[in-house]
Amino acid sequence: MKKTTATKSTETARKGARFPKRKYREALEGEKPVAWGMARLGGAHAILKALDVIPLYPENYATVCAAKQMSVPYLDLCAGEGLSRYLCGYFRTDVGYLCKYLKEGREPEDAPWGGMAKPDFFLPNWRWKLCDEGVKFFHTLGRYMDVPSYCLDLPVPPSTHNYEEIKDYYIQYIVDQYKELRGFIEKVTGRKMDMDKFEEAVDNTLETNRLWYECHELRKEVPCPMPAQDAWSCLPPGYFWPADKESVEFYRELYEELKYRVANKIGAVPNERYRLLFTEGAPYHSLWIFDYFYEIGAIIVIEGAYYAPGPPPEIPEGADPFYKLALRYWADYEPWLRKAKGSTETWETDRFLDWARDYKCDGGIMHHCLDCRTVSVLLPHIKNVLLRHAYIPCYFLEDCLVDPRDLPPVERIKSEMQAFLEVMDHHKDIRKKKGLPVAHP
Amino acid sequence: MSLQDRSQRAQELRREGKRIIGYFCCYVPLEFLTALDFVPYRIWANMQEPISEANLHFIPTACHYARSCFNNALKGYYDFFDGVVGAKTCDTFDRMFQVWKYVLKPEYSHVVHTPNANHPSSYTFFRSELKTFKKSLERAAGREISDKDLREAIRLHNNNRRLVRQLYEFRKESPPRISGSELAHTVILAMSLPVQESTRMLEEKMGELENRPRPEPVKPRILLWGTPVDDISLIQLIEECGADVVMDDICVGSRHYWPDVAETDDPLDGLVERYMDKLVCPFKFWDVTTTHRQDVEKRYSYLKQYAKEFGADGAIMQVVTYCAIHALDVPDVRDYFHEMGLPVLTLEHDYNVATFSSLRTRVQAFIETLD
Amino acid sequence: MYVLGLDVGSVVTKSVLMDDRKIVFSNTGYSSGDFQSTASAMIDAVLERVDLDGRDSLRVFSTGCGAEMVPSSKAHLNDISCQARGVNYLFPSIRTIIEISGRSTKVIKVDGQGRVVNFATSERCAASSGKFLQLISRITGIDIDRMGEVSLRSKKGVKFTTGCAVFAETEVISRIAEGITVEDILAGVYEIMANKAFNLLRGIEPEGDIAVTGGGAKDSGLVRAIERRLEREVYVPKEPFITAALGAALIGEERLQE
Repeated sequence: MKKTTATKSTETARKGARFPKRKYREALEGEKPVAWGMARLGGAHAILKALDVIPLYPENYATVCAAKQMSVPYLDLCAGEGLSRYLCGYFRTDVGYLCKYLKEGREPEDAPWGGMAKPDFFLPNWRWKLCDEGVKFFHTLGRYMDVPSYCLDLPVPPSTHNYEEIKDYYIQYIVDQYKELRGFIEKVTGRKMDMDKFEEAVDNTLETNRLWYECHELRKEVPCPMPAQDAWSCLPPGYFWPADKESVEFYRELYEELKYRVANKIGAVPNERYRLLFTEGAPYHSLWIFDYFYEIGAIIVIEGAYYAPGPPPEIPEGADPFYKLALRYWADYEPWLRKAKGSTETWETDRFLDWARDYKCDGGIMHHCLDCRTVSVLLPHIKNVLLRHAYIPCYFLEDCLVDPRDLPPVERIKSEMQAFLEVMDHHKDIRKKKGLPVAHP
Repeated sequence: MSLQDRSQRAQELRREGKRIIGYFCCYVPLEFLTALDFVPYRIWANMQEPISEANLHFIPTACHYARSCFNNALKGYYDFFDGVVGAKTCDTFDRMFQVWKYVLKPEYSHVVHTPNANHPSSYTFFRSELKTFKKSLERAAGREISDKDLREAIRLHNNNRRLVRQLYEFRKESPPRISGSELAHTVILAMSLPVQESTRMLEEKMGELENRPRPEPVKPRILLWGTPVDDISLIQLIEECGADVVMDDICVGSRHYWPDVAETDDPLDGLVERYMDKLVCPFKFWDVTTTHRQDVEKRYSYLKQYAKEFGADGAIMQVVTYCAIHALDVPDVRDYFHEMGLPVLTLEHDYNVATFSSLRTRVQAFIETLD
Repeated sequence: MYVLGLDVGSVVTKSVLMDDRKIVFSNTGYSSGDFQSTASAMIDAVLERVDLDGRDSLRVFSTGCGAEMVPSSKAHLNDISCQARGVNYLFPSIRTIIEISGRSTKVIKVDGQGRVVNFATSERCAASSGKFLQLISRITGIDIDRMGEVSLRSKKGVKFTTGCAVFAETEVISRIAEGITVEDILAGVYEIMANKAFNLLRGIEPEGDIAVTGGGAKDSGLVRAIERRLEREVYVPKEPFITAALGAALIGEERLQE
């Protein structure tokens, strides 16, 4: 398929994409300790920042390999390691990378961005109890990199609980672990935490998340000023390094750019006709398929349950910085945890429902990743809920996170998307009759 | 009683006015249910029927075991439940619980949030979480649990577990007087009854076994590792290939019955300890403080003990397709068995008897090498 | 004005020639590996039958997986919309379509105008495609065209424990070895396929009258099994292969009038 550039990418997005490369390079210089963790690091970035530790993310590095068309050789190397083919595609990419690393005794020559610097410790975290595999894989990584670990076990209240009754001890558990983590890192690295630096890093984290949240709020406008590719390009600073001053500046710049676009009604696609919700996991190896969506006037306006931060939390005067950090983390899902009981029973589906309405979506793209159950298990359920409660239809795209060999034939995707436009039209009529918001009547 | 009829007694009890609570996973503290006179009933999957209904809510590449459990519920097999209780352990089960609650709207439901780490703070958290569970059950029952009730329930369950362990003792014999499939059958029924009745059934079984003559001949002895198996077909397949399954590391088995609750002054102390420290499942992330090698030793040293006490000649590691947390431990556990000098066979299966024929030749070949 | 709808499928290519919303002529033939030459052969066959001054005045609209390989096509249309429009033309009361083809099963909901309301497809599942029947035909030694009528003789179909084609294959072999009759086995096989279609259908909450199309609709055993599973009768077009080509011609006519 011809690759086109139907979208008007934001200027800032290009800078966002350069962010990770700088970090991976800095880590390779070897002056600062390095931690390998899971996405969003359980909100603990500021603790690492204050102790001068650089967090790197095997998960993120696998997406870099996918984007650079390097995953296939790594996946092939992993195949000889006795690990099942259905395990996480990111993880298998990393294992392949490590096999090569051990064989060559250093970062492999052809590794994207010079490779992933060796860690001093692992920081697995069970982010919202969503990905057991992402925690567990650090046990397996231990086979290749023998370093100590601290697992951030971040609780998420089940919808069977009375939120008000339990929230205090849930948040306290996060605060306690942040403090334990500090002790752990101090012991492993021999460094002492500078409290002033920590306060500053916490404030940066709060500000990064606030601005990033505001950027997403602007995407509710019609026409939408920012497409999915940009949102994914703009994700690394806030997702991986939010405690850095540069991240705050990055989102401030992005916010200004988006505000200008909104004020001047500049849409990301020239002729916006359909607004889409996308879940889950970007197909980094084949992002160009979205160009086709844009050609037919369909733009993804919000993506993924786990990316966009929630609204800024209310922070009590004079709060302890560890507590502030925990509140920020908690805020990402707080509005939905509060109401999950008795609604659709999961904060994930409640969140999608709110988004589908707030972002005035016409349809959803359910990206069923064959190699990522975490983001895929609930997709049929989400589809049912969106249709039943919001009259929003969904299209299933079956694919893999990192392995381009599993993408269905492009002709089929195009043909099914064409039919899906008719489906969206039909449901748009239903929503109009029911008095529900429709962006493009 | 055949396994197909395992719910008969629970259904009878319900007609008599008892309240039946289905539970997933051995991390649900049953002692609280028993203390309030609820009947805990383990939620089973189904090896004999294909998954049809559950795929309307879950992708087909989600754990076959979890989907099969839900499939049974959607087919109405669990309509006799008054409620369901889950534990936040693996994420597929956790999400299945949420969908279960949305679709089937059980009268009572609760999830016990099990920490997956073992930090000092995890124990404090889990203690609060047990109190939340207790409170929630008390609301459902309309009465409170006294420490005395809870202690009594702990004693009942400890006694029940002790009996199962005694049954396992018969498997140390060579050849064992109780086959692997018979034992699994007994354990599955034991988990489908109120604890008092379960204990009576086990006592009868014990009496019968003591007078049973030793079978012939001596066969290779297998230790079975892996994901839940709540049907005897897989074990029978191994037996038909000419081996005895003498020990397991499975949650419908030793993982559930090995650890007891210490009878402490404050009963919560003993409960926290059992559910935090003593139960084993790969979902738990123990922090690595020294080396990976020592970490594996810490997590799996009990396997060495099992292998020795039960005289295993080989290990079969079985993992239901799409159980990532078990699949990720496969290389480590396999190496660990090898270090003990045990040959290993790894099997991946779809939790459906129709898929077993392809396993048979592999099991046969493996057992031949053990002779 | 003649409009030709051409559905270039992975196994069979179909064509329908229409004039002012009336079917003039239809034709089917096996697709060769080369879609382009398959398409021109089909067009030539039409030209032989119909009096046209030249190829230029035949307006072609293509659909199916080889749609883009038809050089003379005025537009490449998606096969789901075509299927919906074609069935609506034949049976206006139909609101739900099950299309079983060589590669996959599709279920489509349509409105009274033949527009797509919702759809779902089963890819990556051999048990919901014609390929599965070919496989079973090979194992049982019953010709694929006769399997349906043989299965209808069954009094009690085999209950398979799996819904997966790969495992069903081994199960079929062992049932044959157990001495179970071929008709009971075939009835069980059709039940697997009917269940697959039924489950796909439930995902889009079907309503109204139901039609079965595609190559699978020619198989009486399969159609009967689907009816049993749905507990109702279904509509089957006389020529179930050509509905998408018919839809392509209809959409083509509309486009030309616009």
